[in-house]
Amino acid sequence: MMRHVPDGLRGRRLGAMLGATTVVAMLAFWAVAAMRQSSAPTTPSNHTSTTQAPGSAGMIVALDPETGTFGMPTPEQARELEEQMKASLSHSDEGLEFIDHPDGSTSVDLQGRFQNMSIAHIGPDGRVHTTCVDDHDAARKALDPATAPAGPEVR
Amino acid sequence: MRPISRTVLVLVATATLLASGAQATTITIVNTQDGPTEGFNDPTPVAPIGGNSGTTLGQQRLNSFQYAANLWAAILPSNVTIRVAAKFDPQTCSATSGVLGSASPVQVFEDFPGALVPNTWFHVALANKLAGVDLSASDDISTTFNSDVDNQTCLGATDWYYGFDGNEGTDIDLVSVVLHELGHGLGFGTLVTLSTGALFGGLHDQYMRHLHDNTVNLPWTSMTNTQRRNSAINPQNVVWKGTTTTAAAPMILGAKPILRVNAPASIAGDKVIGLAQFGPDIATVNVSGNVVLANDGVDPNADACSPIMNSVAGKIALIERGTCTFVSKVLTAQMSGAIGVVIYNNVPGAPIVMGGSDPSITIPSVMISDVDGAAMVAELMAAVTVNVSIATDPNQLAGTDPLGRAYIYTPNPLVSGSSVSHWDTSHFPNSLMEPSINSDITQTTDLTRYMFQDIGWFTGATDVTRGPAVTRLYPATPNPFNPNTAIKFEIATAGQVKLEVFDVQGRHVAGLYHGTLQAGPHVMVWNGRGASGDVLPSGVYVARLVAGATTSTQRLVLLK
Repeated sequence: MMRHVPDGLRGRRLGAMLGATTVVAMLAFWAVAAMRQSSAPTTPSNHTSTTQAPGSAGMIVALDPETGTFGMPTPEQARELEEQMKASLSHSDEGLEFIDHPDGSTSVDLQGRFQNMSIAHIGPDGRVHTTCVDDHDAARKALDPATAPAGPEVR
Repeated sequence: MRPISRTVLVLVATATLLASGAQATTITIVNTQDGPTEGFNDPTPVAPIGGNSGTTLGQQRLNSFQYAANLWAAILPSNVTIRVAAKFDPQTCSATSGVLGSASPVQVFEDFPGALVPNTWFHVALANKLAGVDLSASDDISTTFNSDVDNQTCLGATDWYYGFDGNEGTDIDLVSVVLHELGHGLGFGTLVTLSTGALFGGLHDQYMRHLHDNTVNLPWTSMTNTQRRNSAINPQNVVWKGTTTTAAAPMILGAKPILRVNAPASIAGDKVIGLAQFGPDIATVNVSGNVVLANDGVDPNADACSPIMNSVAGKIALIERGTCTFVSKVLTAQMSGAIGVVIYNNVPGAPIVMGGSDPSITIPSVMISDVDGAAMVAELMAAVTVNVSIATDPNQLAGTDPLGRAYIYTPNPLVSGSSVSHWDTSHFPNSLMEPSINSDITQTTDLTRYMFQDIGWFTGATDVTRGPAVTRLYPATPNPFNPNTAIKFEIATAGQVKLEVFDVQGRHVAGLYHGTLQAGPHVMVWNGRGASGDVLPSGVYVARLVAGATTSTQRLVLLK
């Protein structure tokens, strides 16, 4: 039995095939980054850096994969965190694979995209304010003390 | 972040079935990604807290996660286990801001066996429930939470609170955050790209199918991409049209706080208001009185940043925003004997929520826009008596449109990342799925469980969440009305139901429903017309609900 496939979906399936190369490349980047962490030597080394994450106004802390201690992230760690956040908050269907199944259904593995992310910010009043975002720009704003929602105005 | 653990820990959170006997689901929390001494496996000793008996940090995290999962599992009927991949890892964080956690569906499905509608994306957990089988061998929801919150360099002294009792103090209640994020993973969210209005893969999704824009009077499914993009920034004009949620809203949401201008007629009516974080809950007060423009004798004279010189005793003080804090203004008016305060904005735009706290404030206060403020000042300057009420309207629900449909969060400008996939912030009491997790959230699934009923989670099952069933009419909204009013009611047991309208002489004027209905909440909209479609005159009418042996009536006022 023929199943109706919307034009938009047909286009996406074609787009997904064409975009597969891009996804593989991106995944390869993350995989390499993860492997670098997971295969790190067990002897302590100094990964502390005073460099802040690009585009961030606050201090970013990171877990040193070798010492298990917290400290300033290396530029590489900061970049990885940023890239992971950007990817997880993506709403793009570009490069996603639309799979047709024998029962007539279609599925899409979202590849970790379309995340909803809760972010906390401590306002000038000392209170914790939270916001839930699903967009990278919004996440950056919520994490930046200069633009984070600080609760209702008091005057 | 860490290599896959050699220790694979799988938690199974099996919810206890409720007395109704309806089938709840099982949520399996899959922890395969935390290292042996981190995240859920962190061996740091801790003392049990708030009902969480864990004695290590990792155990408490797992227990807390499991507790939140159980809250969902207990109410969602499905014979397919929901698999939640979970990990606690360091995330982006600073001393003042940081990621708490995130969640998403792993996959989406369309046109699967059991799909409620064709050509529509469903989150995989819901698709599994409707199909009655596990459509995919992979996990259903992916979650990551920030383990750094527990160290002092991330959010300072603020830590995760792992208790189950909501007694987090200045810490962050993990159960509430997990509950919220799992809600997104289970189906509370659209796949639409809001900046363009474009559909995911060219198809609707099951969430956006229930959105309706009151301004253009169109459901999101009938809109062009441009219309959807515009609708996403149409505040308090986009509603959830699911009938179960609408019928349940009176049980969850409180009456709408209002500032009603009673006189003069030229400015009479309800004004758009911003509420105060301080002072008494407006739901507990109902003050009416004449308005006096405060004068403190110091330019600008009406800002009440100095002691008020004219008499506001027994009156409602009208005060200009600016210079000093909202709390200071209201305290000054209270000390002068005012029974309430209306603060008007000193900048263009809508009124805002007034922040601050002072437990000594006992009088209510609200903010109105600069335009409404100017109109009120003009009347007072012309020596016209202005009389207002600060109260709640029992015929309107906070956070809903006049038909009782819950508002979706669609601020303008677009708050990218928060818009559309949350309830509006005007809900009162606050709802779990608002964009901010508010302090008064009590680890309940509130209105969202009914929203889940609308999208199909309870198809073929009885809602197990609502306690003893009753048959009753809820207050119609709006009432008085013109031209439509939503008549909401609940049926205790499935069976024959008749909903009719009579005039005050007892004459039958309209039949709204006669047939079989399932147990649970329902809503019918009456358009003020008679049985033959004739437009009825203004007057009092009576809605009568008959279900089984129960008869319930309610007065409706049609005003033209």
